[in-house]
Amino acid sequence: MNTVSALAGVVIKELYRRKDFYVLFVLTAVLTLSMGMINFFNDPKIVEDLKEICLLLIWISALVIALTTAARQIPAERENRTVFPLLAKPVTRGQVILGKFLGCWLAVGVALVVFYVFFGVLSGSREHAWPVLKYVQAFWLQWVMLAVVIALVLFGSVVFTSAAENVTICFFVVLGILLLAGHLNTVALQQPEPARTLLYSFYFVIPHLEWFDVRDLVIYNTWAPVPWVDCLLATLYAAVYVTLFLFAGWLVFRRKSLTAS
Amino acid sequence: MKSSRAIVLLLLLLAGGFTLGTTLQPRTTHWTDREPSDSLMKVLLGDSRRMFANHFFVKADITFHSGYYPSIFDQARQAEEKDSDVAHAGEQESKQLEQGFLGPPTDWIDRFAATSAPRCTRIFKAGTRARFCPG
Repeated sequence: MNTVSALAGVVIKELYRRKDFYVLFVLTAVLTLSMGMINFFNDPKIVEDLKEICLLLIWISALVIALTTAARQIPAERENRTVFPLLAKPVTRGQVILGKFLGCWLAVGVALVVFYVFFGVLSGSREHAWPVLKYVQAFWLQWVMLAVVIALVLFGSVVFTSAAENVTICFFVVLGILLLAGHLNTVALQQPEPARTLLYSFYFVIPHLEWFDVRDLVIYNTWAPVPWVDCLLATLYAAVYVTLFLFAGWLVFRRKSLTAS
Repeated sequence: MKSSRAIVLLLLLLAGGFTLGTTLQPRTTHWTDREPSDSLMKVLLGDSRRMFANHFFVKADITFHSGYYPSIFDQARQAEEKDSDVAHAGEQESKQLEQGFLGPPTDWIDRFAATSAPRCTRIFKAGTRARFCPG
């Protein structure tokens, strides 16, 4: 566990040394604040629209941070040849994968906390209400969703040759799931058998990242918090897919030749 | 680890995900009403699409007026004139409506340009131009 946490620590340090997070945070803050200064149609519900924009930017920024941070971990180690001294120490390849995942997940969590604190302060100053429980649930579900994304990208980084290729493919896969996966069951019902059963099975096999999108929970005050049992089930669901991708990644990585091509 | 055992483990995990998915899916529909069948823009932006409505409304208005529309400089000048004319409200109004937002021509080039400037008379009924045209 010490080895894994040491590897994770290096990844977290890398996040605050790089400029990605700062740029995305400043961009989100500037865009949200500039939108907040404008009063459209004297609409009293403008705060909800502002929150929606801010959360969309947070979702995009967190996805970009998770994708780029996870995608460059193993390819960068191979290109810089630092993977050889790393594996020469009493560190297994499984620990490398686990350490990289933990580091990326914690780093993204830190970034997400900063984003949500900004969001909470902004909406709290406008609405004078602090639904902390809803913020915590929205944060947790998004963070858990990002764990699946990070595990998927780490799996991609041992399968694909370059980091850019991995980022592009994973980006489209994640975007496809977020935007289209929810429609698959509807499409499946319109198909004849056996395509219906196959498509419906595929619908339940893919990791549904869009289920973790509970932005409406914090945007509109009408929704009650998500039941804790559902939160636990969602966490378990994400944990299963994280384990699946990390295990598959380890299976590929343990037999992979690390000599530079 | 043998590859057959690894495959069994992978399949077990996949089955676990499948089972949890079937349990979780009906529950997620009660969390919020962000319907998966909504349009892409609605999924991404939700009700905040209204914030961009003003921009598209102005763009449409410019098109309907054949491009004859006050720029930000004209709008600023109008605002300034409005502030200075508060005490004499209504005096200049009819004159301004005749001349449009561009104001009186300053030289012969302006006068010539005014004769060929696009107007919105073709779009709206005669007699209502002054009410609908910008400025």
